[in-house]
Amino acid sequence: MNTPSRSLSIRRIVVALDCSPHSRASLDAAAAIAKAINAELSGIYVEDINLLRIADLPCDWQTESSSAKERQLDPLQVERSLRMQAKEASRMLGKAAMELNLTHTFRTLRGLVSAELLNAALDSDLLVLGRAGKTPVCRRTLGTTAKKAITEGQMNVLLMRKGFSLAGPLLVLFDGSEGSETALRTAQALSAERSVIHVLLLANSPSSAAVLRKKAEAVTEVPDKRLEFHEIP
Amino acid sequence: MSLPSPLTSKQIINRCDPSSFSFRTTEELGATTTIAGQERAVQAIEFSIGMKRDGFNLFALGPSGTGKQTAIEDYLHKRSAGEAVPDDWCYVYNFEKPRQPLGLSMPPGRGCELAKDMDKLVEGLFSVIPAAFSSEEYQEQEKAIKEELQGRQSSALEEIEKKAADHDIAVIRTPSGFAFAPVRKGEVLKSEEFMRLKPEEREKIEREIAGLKESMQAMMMQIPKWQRESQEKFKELNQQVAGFAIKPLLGEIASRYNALEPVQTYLERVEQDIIDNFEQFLQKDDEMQEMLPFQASSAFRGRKSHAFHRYRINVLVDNSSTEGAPVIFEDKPSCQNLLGDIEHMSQMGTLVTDFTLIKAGALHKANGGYLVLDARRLLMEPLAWEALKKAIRTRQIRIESLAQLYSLVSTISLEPEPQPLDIKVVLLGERQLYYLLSAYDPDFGELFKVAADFDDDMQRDETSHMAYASMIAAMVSGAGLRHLDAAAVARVIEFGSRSAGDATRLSTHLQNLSDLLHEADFLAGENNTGIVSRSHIDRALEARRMRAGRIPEKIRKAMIDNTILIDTDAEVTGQINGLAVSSPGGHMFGHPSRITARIKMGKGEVVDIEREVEMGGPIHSKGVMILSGFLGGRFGIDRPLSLSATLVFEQSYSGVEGDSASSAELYALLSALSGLPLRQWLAVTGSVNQHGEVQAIGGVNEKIEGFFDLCSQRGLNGRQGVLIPAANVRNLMLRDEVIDAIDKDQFHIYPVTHIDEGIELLTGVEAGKPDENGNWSPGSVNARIVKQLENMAEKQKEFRESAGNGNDQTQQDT
Repeated sequence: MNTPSRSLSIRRIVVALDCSPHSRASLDAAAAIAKAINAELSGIYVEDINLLRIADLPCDWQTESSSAKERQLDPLQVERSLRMQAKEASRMLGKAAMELNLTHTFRTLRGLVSAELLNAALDSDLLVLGRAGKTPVCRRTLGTTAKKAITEGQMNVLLMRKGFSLAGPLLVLFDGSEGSETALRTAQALSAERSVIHVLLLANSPSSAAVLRKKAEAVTEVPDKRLEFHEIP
Repeated sequence: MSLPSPLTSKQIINRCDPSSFSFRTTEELGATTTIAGQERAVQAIEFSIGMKRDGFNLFALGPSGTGKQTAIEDYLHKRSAGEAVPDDWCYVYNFEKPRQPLGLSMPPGRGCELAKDMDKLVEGLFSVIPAAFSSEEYQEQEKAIKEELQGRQSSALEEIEKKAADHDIAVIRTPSGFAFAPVRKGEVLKSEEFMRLKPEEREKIEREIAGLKESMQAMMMQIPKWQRESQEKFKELNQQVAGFAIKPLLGEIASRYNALEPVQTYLERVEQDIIDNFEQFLQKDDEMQEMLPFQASSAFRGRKSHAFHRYRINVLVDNSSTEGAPVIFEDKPSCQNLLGDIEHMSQMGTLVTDFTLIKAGALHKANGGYLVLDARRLLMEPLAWEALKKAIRTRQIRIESLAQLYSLVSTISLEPEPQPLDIKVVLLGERQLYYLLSAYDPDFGELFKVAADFDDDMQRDETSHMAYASMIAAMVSGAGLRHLDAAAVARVIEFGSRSAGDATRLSTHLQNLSDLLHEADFLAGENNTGIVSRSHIDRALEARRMRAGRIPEKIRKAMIDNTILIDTDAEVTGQINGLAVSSPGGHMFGHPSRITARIKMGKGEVVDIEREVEMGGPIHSKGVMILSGFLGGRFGIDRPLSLSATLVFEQSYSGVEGDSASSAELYALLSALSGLPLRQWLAVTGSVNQHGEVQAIGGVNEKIEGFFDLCSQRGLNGRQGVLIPAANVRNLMLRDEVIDAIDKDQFHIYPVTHIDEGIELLTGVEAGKPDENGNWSPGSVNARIVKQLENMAEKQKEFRESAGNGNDQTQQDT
């Protein structure tokens, strides 16, 4: 797949890795995008400072989820566990990058997860992270980091969850703005060759929808058979 | 005493007149009579087969080749055709106890139908069940249950998080659980910051955290219960969906077997089992795609075949194409072939089995009908006899593996439900087997109450001639041979009499008869004739004699060459030609054998040299002892028998048995005693009793022909002949050459009733009669013997007296 000349300009993709299933999906998606648009992949693992601090606190305030029993957190064990996770995250990234022949870097940071991540992503064009991380089980909504990245982040954010794939079909909201044109070009670049790209035209009348459609078709320059246009009646 | 006249040719053969037949060839006769002359046996068969009670099984006894099997099979096929076809028998999976497969009995043909229906059902399930479980409705319900569990957990957690947040406490996931920590502006307090807090603040935090921990623990304790509840809901949902999906399929099958209660019960169990194990039919495509092609195909096959296996029907006995009751002849009645077997399959180096590997035995196939077995073969198979008896006694077929029984293999074994047994067993065997079983097996009489005793021969008369002819016609038609003309049939009948060894009876040895017909057919074929005529039968018999003639010919040649000394010309004292028969390889032939007697002084004993060297059998010894009895009775009443006689079969190297030479031995002895020479051109056969009466013997035809052949080779001179017991005249069925010689007065057969007739024929001297004082007519054989005995007694007395005096002197000397 060639890099489209006027698509979203992404040179560096930061992917947050914490070894959770969601972050595995994030890595796959980030690697696929990086391959598609020939970008650099940068993996970040943040050692949660809060966890280290709890281990340092003098009381045993941990409850084990397998037995519901209390147990003192051992600071050394927490350190060791974080190092192991960082190592695993680095290995995962290395493997994915090697398979797709990508340029990649890996960094381990320490601090508050969301702050460190957003900070580290400042110099990148896209931040890919799991919809929810390893914070308490069975969350139905977005994780704290994800929430923060969307509300406070300055960069493009892609939230992934386990079981989702970038191969398509993709949906592009098209309102004729410059941003939506970039979105459409990016979708074309990312989507698999035979996968459908659904383009939802945000128009309030059939006539304006027709105008938008023309505009969208103009964006693609050569007719793209994968595009399927939809409008809200 | 009037001497017996030699027999005429009419007396030595009972001819069958071809003109007495109403047919020209056997083609005109129906091919329906397959057996004749076995009325007793046939009645027994009818009785046994008709008797529907336990233990009235049949043992058909008789020599091999008497048509036992033919008669039984004929009768059974005729009878069974009108009887009901027995039910099919199937084995199915036992869902409660998989090691004890269940038996299903159903009307003929329904077993295979059900098996096909079940195979189709399984095929159908692979599409119906996945369809039901991939429906949107199911997915929605499944999602709802999952979300309910998730919701329960997260709302409980969120509640704790909220409660914690109210007190500036965060819930943080640790590698092994959850931890609570005081936070300030989203960050957990550092240890030193915490230690800097006032003690009361720390206590407060610790108290709050302790409370939160309790809530957390309480929630965690709830999680397994919630999960279990969800699982239950899942299970219920799955069962509902699966049950609903398969109901129409099973309902359709069940409706076809409405009247069959056991099938209905089985189908209900199948339905429940499918619902319980619906996952085996959910083969997801993406799972398969992840595997390598060969793994995918074998895994799919394995899973599919496993599912197939469980719901398959093993139709052990399929009577769909059976007409009437089954008649089974099991040629190899081994234990497995009778009771069936449980086969094993090798799987990853181990032997495994299941109910589909149960194999039917002859008892299963014959159940509801008849099973015919050869008794000898049955008894030669290890444990088969006991197994058969057990099955008959218990009236059920219980399949047991011999290897398992003897711990030869140790694998998973099955105990199939025994099949109820309703059968009539027919055993075919020799008489001796029947008598041995009766004597030594206490169960035998109880289980085989009826014996069909097949006779070796049958009465010969006009009616039986026709029956024989019909039987020949049936044999010829059955074997596709050329038909016989009337003269050939007559010759075969004569052969039947000769085989029976009796001119008034006919042999029922069908095998022998059938062999002759085949041989004659072959000769007729060589002559390019369409009909077998008398000459073909004659030639076949001649060829048969020729084929078996090596040994008799060699013996005869040795006699001609004087290697074996047989005099047929001179008159010799104390020497006679006895007649013996041998039957190497079942072919019987006769030949003369020289018997000599010598006498000396003694205490009245007759020494049988054969017995002394243990070459004589007990019957032969008995015959010789009878001679002593005769001599004692006739000559030893008035005087002591001061003789010692020795008797021997000259040039015999292989032992003697039978008493048919006892009359010849007596003649030799009388000749030795009387000093009268015996005519060596007459040979003798016949046994004798203590009164001197000559008694019947066996093999008379062969004996006569044996002596005739020798004489004929040396040249017939009109003197030669044979003395036979008069009682054996009815057995005579001699060869045409002998008949011709008799017609031409060149050879003679004398029927003798008493030893005195014989000795007169052999010596040409009158035997003599005792007068009122017991004195024999002067010059007669007996008078000479008495004189000789008196001489010997006198001499012995003199000798004893002189020997006694000598002894006295010796005693005096000492």
